[in-house]
Amino acid sequence: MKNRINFLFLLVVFLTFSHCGQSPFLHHKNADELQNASSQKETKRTEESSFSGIESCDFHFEKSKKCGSITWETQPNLKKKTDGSFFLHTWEGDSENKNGIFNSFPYSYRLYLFMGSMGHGTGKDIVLNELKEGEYRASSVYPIMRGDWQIYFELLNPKNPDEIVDTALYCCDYNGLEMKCPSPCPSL
Amino acid sequence: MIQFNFDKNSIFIALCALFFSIDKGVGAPCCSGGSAAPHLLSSDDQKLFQISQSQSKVIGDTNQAGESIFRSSQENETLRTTQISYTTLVNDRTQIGASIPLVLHTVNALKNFQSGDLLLTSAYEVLPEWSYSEWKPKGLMYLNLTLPTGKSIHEVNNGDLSQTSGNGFYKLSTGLFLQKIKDTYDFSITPEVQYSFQRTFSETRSTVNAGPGASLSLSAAKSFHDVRIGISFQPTIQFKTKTRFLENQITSTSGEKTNVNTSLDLGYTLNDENALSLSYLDQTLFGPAKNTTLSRSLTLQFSKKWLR
Repeated sequence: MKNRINFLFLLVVFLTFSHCGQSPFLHHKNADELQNASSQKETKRTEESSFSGIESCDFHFEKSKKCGSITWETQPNLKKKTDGSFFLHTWEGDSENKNGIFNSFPYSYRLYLFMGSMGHGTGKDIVLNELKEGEYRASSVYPIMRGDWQIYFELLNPKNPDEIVDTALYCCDYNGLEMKCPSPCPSL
Repeated sequence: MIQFNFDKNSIFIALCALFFSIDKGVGAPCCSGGSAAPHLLSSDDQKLFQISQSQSKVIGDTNQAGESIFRSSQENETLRTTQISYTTLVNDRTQIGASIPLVLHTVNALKNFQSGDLLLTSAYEVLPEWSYSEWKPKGLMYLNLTLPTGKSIHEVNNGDLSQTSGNGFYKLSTGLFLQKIKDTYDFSITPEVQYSFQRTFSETRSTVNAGPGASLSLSAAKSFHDVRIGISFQPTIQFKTKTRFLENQITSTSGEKTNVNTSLDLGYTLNDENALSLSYLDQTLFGPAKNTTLSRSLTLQFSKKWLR
């Protein structure tokens, strides 16, 4: 009888603690389940985007009034240990692109991932290759863990790469399988 | 001259403890919150030597909103840690010690073996037990200094997480260890505050100010002759971290990191001087967990003490 009371007491304590403190054990998602959901969502998104002729301004260089958009080619995948890549479009102006004309800027670029919520980055830059005027392919995109990531875009003076002309920020929430962008940016 | 007096059984069990690979760890060194366990002389001993073998597996991650995702079985991140610590009295109420972990960090196919962060400990017995008291606990005030002898995530510039084995900061922590033994039960409570000093990392061109943190450890145990069974809870918090990139002056403030370490401990006293313990630690059981990795670990520890 005493043992039963002790067991019930421990059970009540466990449930109380786990309820008040939001036990990760009782409230979590599994990476494998997210993989399936992500695949279904990816198919829908591709269908939707094919109907749109307008590119939204995903990130914005405030000082120089320039915009850019991102279209994911491959999502980085922690389970498969594969890098991600995306297509980058840039244009003059600070609003959405309605005419489909893109512009390259007279600067060099630096792109990197930073995890503001943790206070560290990945330690290596994203690789950027120009495809044609205002269109680029960014590769080696590998967030090393799940969480809130920011993609930093820097416009650098080509004569002095240490001089940053302008910066822009694009915030994503990474679940190990998909960069959900844009997501709310942390306080920076 | 240090002399060990073991019988055959003790030697066998001690060797098992040292070389039989059992998992431990308190989490990935890059992210997980936690307190450096003070290797204190809490009983009437002159010196204490401890060696432990542990392995930790990272089970999942939580984001800033506290949403947890448990990793796929194909994502493998483990830390195998051998920790050696030594503590000695310098006078009747003062003690000093040091502890160094050696870490084998495995992330998928990548492995790295290196030292972790060195911990230097000093403690003063502020509440001695010179006479029997029904309620008054024994109390030790301690001051720890952590030296960043391990490699932190701020020093890795190729994205290889397996190269991390420490937190990267000079850290001061102070706390009060209060212990009460009543019949066959023992209880302890250890509040601790920490401060990590700002440091610049040339590898990632960043200056990071990790700032303050705190933890509270509560434990209770019951002894049955030579066997002791205990549980402990340790909520920890690391307050906001400020990061600044040198080149571009971009500043970023991270969210708070919180987690709760829950452990189940099984101890066995071999004789008056030697003991073994097995601990299971789980960071997934209780929350709130935010902005951190979640691990489970198993530790086997051998302790040798010298009586006064």
